[in-house]
Amino acid sequence: MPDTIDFACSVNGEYRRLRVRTDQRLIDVLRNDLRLTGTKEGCGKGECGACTVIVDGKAVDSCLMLAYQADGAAIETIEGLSQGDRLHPLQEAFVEHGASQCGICIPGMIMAAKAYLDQAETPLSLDQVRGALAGNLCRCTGYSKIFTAVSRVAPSPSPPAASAEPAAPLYFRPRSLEEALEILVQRAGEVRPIAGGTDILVAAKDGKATPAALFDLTAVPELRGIEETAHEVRIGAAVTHAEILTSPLVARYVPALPLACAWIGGPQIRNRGTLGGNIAHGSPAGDTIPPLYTADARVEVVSVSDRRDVMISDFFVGPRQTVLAPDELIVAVRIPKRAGVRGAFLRLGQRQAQAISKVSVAVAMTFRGGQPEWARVALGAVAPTVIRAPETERALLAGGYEGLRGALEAIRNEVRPIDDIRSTREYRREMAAVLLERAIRQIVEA
Amino acid sequence: MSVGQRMRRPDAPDKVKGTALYVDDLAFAGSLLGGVLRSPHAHARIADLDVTQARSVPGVRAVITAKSLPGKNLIPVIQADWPILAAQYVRHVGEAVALVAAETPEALRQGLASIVVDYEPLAAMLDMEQALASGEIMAHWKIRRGEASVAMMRSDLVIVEESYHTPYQEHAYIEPNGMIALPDGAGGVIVYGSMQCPFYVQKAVATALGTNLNRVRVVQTVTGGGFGGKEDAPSAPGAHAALLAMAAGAPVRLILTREEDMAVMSKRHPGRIRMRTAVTQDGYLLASEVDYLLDGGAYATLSPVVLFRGTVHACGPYRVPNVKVDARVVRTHKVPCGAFRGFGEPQIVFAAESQMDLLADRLGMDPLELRRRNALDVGDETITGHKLTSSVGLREVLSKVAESSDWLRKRKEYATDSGPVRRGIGVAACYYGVGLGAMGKHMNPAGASVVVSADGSVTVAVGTTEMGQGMITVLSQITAEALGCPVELVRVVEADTSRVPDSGPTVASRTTVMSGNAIREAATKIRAAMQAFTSDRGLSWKDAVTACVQNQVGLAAFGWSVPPDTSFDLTNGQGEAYICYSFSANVVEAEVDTATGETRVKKVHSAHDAGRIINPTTAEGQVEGGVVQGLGYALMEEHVLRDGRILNDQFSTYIIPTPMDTPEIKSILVEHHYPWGPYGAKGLGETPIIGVAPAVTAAIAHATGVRLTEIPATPERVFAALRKKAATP
Repeated sequence: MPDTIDFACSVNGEYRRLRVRTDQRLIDVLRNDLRLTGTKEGCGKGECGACTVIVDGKAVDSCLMLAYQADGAAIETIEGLSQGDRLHPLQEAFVEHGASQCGICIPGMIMAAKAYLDQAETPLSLDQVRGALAGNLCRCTGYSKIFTAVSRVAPSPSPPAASAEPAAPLYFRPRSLEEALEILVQRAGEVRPIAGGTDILVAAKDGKATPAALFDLTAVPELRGIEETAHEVRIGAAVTHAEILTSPLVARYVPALPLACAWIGGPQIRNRGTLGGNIAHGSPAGDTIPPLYTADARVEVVSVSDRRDVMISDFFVGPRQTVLAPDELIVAVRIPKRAGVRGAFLRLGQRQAQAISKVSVAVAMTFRGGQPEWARVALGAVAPTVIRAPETERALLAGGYEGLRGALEAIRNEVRPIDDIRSTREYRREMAAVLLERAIRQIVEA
Repeated sequence: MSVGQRMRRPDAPDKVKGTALYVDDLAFAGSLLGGVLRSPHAHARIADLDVTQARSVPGVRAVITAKSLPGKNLIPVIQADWPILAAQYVRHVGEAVALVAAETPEALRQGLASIVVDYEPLAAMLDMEQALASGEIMAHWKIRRGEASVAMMRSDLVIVEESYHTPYQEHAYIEPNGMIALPDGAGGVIVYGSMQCPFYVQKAVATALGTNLNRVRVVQTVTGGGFGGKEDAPSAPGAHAALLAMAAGAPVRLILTREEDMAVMSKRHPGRIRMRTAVTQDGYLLASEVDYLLDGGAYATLSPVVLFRGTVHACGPYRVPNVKVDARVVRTHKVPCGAFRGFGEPQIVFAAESQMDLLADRLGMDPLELRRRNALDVGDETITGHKLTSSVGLREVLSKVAESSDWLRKRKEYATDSGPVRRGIGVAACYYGVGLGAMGKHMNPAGASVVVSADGSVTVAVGTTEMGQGMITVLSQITAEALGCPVELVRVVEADTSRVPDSGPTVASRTTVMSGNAIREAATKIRAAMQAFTSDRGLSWKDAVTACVQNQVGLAAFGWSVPPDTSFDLTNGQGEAYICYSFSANVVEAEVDTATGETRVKKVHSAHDAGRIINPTTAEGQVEGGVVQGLGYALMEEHVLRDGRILNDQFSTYIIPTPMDTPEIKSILVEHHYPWGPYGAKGLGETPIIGVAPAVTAAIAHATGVRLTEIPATPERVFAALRKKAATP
């Protein structure tokens, strides 16, 4: 039987101290323990967004959070929006514009819209609305009336919801790196860390991971933050994709990385998913990884007894296989500063949001005296791991039309794609070249 | 005046507040969890099935196999072939083999894992052409009108011939299927659940339990989307939950996971269509020969009627004097396919409308003009010889989409695009027979109970269901109009088999017409009863009700609506297939990236003649939702199977459009009143999805010069077609 633990949070402004099973997801506690059934489960894998709630001001999928990960947090659910028959302006707009049909997706839609609107100063443009709702699926409405409803609501800055004093035991929610490493040693082989949960809780639903054997890293301060030293930018392993998206430091030194993060999932996934998690997951289609290859990033790995740096390109040994030992944690990614670097990231997916890449290309280059000086090309989803394309890079350094032609020639031979349910070997090979050409164009036109 | 107004949906406030109760939101004390052991094989003999160990797992309260059913092992639909639980053979991956009810998720898991099944795998029929060759035919419908092959014996005709392929489509309702069953304490059972057709579930449960229909009460909970996927398919979990509840003597929750739902619930049939179509030099359709094949999966469920609808609509909404259609649905060892919005039409309309474009190309004629020239009108006959006597808005919807899209200008302008990204614009039209038609006559009627309370409020019960489409709203408006009462006083309650007689399924765009007419009949009786006390006195509704109550006038009535009689001859496919038809035309504007094969639809103009529109907002909602489902069908949705197993059984692999994939949609409603419909209404649920895919591939063809004969038009397919075109001189 999984253990139970206590944690504290506020739910719709009300302080709650809860005893939960360690494998319970936030959605289970909301729906079953608190009987807040307005939060709906459509897939349990963070794909439909019906379970969207707001945690500390951010939209998240409550099916992809262990309950105790909300320790100390302020949680808002759909039930907190209306007071009796008095509807929140978003709810009112959804009724007014006929935006709900079967209604099952609507609480999640409204919470995703609220999280975005709470940060906005003016009513949202149509593109902003689409982006805010990119993590929410609806099968009835064709979205049109939902777009109308959300775009008609003026933002009304609401005071941040009151959070609670954290109360979860350190054993499951360590507050320092030292404590986290201790857990790994003491329960070696039994436990795995969880951060954003956007991969591991999906695996858990498929029975490929044990949610009761997880412990949460998101309260470890050493894993947070984006900082610079004289020669490096350091991105903490638990930094989220959403945080990377707004970092000027990252934009300057790894310009391809925020472009990649923008493609990951929808807002809910970007608010929870972390850079360290994307690396540890080790998918050949992981979108953050090609940009890190092009930045010569080093992965900082620690255990109780050791600390080592691994070149990102040495980190992966196969699909979802890495060099990370069971007692090790990824602490950060360090990126050497390279002045004047230009970067691009392009990818193709099966749709325009929430799509796993079927091929992705990241390019980083510097120029001097009108000639390419340095070039990096990395590709995702075209080999068992993300790969660099050294021949392509060499060809690019020749510069000019010959450089481009040589690169487009070389890249076809450097990829090793396969057929799978997302695409075909042939298409991936051809698209690697098409995306490379477009990436180079973006870089030279920048 | 209530009909025609943009009334707010009465069900919206609870849905936006999160207080509406879906099946998974209900809690009953002492509930057990139900689970289903499913076949890992596409085809196998069950040599042995041993549940003794499972029965002794602590916390397991009931285990059921085919041998321990109290009633018949049958889910009754059309053909008596679909078992509740596999007995000697499993015939598709995911077929139910045994049921377990347990107190905890752990006990359920362990109980299911402790069942020992010895399967002897058998060769599986996985290909529909092979199944056809082997004679595995579930149904075969024909149309014989004129003499198609004789008519084509002319050298001055333009004839095009092509084969088309369409994929599985998943309903992808956001609420998975689920049922909760509880013993009613008097020997019967109550079943709550997500469904479109409570009377189907009632019949399935009564059959499973071997009891009378009046011992089975089925109540529809707020239902999170259906689209046909909750027509017949919920009968299985309904029967499963009821069997477990009665065996365990406790409430049983059976809520499917998304993966389970996608693996085993019904889908749109994959189709293969061969068409040879002949047109005269001046652009009049002369003859069509159609060979239509659907993959029905392991059990017939609704396949024969799905096929029937496709058959009678095989040539699109046009006059064609000579038609020969042979349509067959075959049995394979795959998940049973069934109802999905459009119901056998999207497949064949993709082919028929693509043929129209090919003909227009060959004639050098504008494709919209070719359609206009052949469009059905009042006085014309459909290919089943059904003479249309009223309400044919096809010409108007074609004109409206042409006008709205600035068709002629864009058709010319886009053709001159150069560079990698090219614009294209395409058109497609369709029609849809409203209601169950000739194949479903016995289920045609619908009932309504209308009860006026002393305070003037009105309770309406019908046998059809709200699944998001707006039935409650539309029927509230019809009630208010028919009774002359304020619409705020009307409450349409959830469907419950104990309130009204079997009113057939909530499908086929029939609800507004059938339940609407039943309400009108009941309202007419009530108004007649009120008349003596209210006429010429200018009383308000509430005062009139008060006057009636004081005079002991009963203000409750029952309405029963039976559609006009039709006749149909199945031997030649001639007759009145449906009571009336809705008409639709779509224009799609798209951009195709010729380097990647990616298509981005920029705008859809979607015009519909659904007769009188009861509520424009809910009507637009139907159009917009149907269009986006149609875009998914056209561009990205398909199931991939290996050895009969669906490989993409979740939302990360079965791809449906997100907000980012959704273009601007212009819905246009034209109203050609249908005299028998309530206030002139027809049906609108399904036309929006049917004509989207061919309009998308037409836009791609206009943009790139390549026409896909297979959907979805994935970038891979478009890219391969462009490659092929570039390689052929």
